[in-house]
Amino acid sequence: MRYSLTFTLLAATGFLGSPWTWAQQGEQPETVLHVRAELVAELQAISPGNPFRAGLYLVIDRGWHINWKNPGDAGLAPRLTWDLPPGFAAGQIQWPCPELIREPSLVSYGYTDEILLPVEIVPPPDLKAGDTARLSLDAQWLECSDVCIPGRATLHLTLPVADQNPPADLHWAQLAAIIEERMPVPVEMIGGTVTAALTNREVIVRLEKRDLAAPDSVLFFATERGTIDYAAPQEWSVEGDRLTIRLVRPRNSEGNPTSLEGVLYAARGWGGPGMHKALAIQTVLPVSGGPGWAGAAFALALLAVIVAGGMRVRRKRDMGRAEGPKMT
Amino acid sequence: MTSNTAKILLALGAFALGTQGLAQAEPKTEAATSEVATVGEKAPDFVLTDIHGKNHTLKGYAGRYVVLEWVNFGCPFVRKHYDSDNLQTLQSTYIGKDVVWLSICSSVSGKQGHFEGEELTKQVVEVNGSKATAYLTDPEGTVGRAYGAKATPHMFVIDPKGTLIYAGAIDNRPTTDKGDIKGATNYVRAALDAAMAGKKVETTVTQAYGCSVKYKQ
Repeated sequence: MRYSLTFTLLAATGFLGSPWTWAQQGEQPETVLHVRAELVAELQAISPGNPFRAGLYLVIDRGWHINWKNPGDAGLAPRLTWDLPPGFAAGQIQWPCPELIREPSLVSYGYTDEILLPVEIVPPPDLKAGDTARLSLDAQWLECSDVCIPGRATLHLTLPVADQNPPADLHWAQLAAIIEERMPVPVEMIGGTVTAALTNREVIVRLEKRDLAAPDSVLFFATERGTIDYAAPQEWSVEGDRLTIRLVRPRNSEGNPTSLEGVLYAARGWGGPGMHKALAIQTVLPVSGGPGWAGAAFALALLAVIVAGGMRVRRKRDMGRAEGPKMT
Repeated sequence: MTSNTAKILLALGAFALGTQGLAQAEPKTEAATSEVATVGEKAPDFVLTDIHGKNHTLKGYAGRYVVLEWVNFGCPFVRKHYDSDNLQTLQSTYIGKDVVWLSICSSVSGKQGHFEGEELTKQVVEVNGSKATAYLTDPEGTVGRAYGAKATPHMFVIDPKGTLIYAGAIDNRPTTDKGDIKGATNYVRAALDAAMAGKKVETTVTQAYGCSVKYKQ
């Protein structure tokens, strides 16, 4: 521990309160109105150079929600700002699949009840066993019911450095179990492929997988704003090994998105009962060259050939040349 | 190529085009989309009352640029633009250029953003210092729904001919942070400046960000 003049003075005046616990566990969780926030880590100690996950655990009052990285029609994505010791790096939030939160005439993407938002932390290799590392997090979010209120918490977690194989944190293990089924996995993990196409009014997504079991319900959550109408019903059907889902484009949409990113969720699980409920979708989004377009293009091409051919015949007659087979 | 062959191919081509025409005639499953304001089309007319009891119609402002600003003073996103004076400044600036700026609140009675009588006047004039031409209340939500207003602030810009030339977010930083205003691209400003200079509006549609409009159910 480093002792500064300020610290000494504060200690002397008895001003230091309970928040300075120096314990391995996080400091007291903060409650901001309708959401209780806590900073947790998956290990009880840090092992130099070995990445581990830390996370923001939120308990949300009934009737309230916070948002996903794409909030949908209304809301704001939670934002994490880390303050870490030198040499540490934090990754982006690993977002569990959200829920569809319906309000009259609009839809938000978010979380209710409780959620864990994990982040990978990479410690530097030059830490020494016996050191401690203090992770600080400034978390901001919007908590909404029929009104929205900004929420904020500044959280700290101090972890000791161990030289090898630190034990797992049991509290984390319990919390991670909440989100395990909802963490999106790549389509390859279930042995499937995904393609998508754009029409004037729809985004059509196709999932092909051998022995595809028809799901009970399917939902697609779009990552990018302006790609789909979040509130519109999503029609889906299964034919053999192919699932097709039709997403409605927003009413006023400008230009054509060229890629589609999101999460495809089936409550029953894509990979077997209860397994792999959420698939991470990332695919190009070509404009559909469907039968209507191709047929019209073909017909036009045919006409063009005919017209050109007709013109060539006339020219040869005019010039009086006789090339190739005799013309009648 | 013989002329007979050419005729046959021509007939085939026409047939192909014809059948494609038939294939494309799907039954209309969607409700008429022209019921909601669409960029590039005429903006729906309306009649709403301001805080002084006076009626305003869109038709009454024909020949001028009109901005519609869906507002809810309790929403953190609206607060971002009012606490920073951003919206009031925009209102003054463009009213100075003969633009009509109408703030509209579609919050139903009992929901956030809805005010009446003396409290309404206080909120508009004293608390928030609105510089809008008028603040109109739409507690039935008919005008909000006609425009497809979803999240406050939701902005619409109408040209002097009555055509909707912009619909969507106020700017490109969908946050509640006042610090994000300065560096943001303000879509309303951009649409008005371009249209008034006779130039093409670059961004005509964006997704509005903010709190849901508290419609009557």
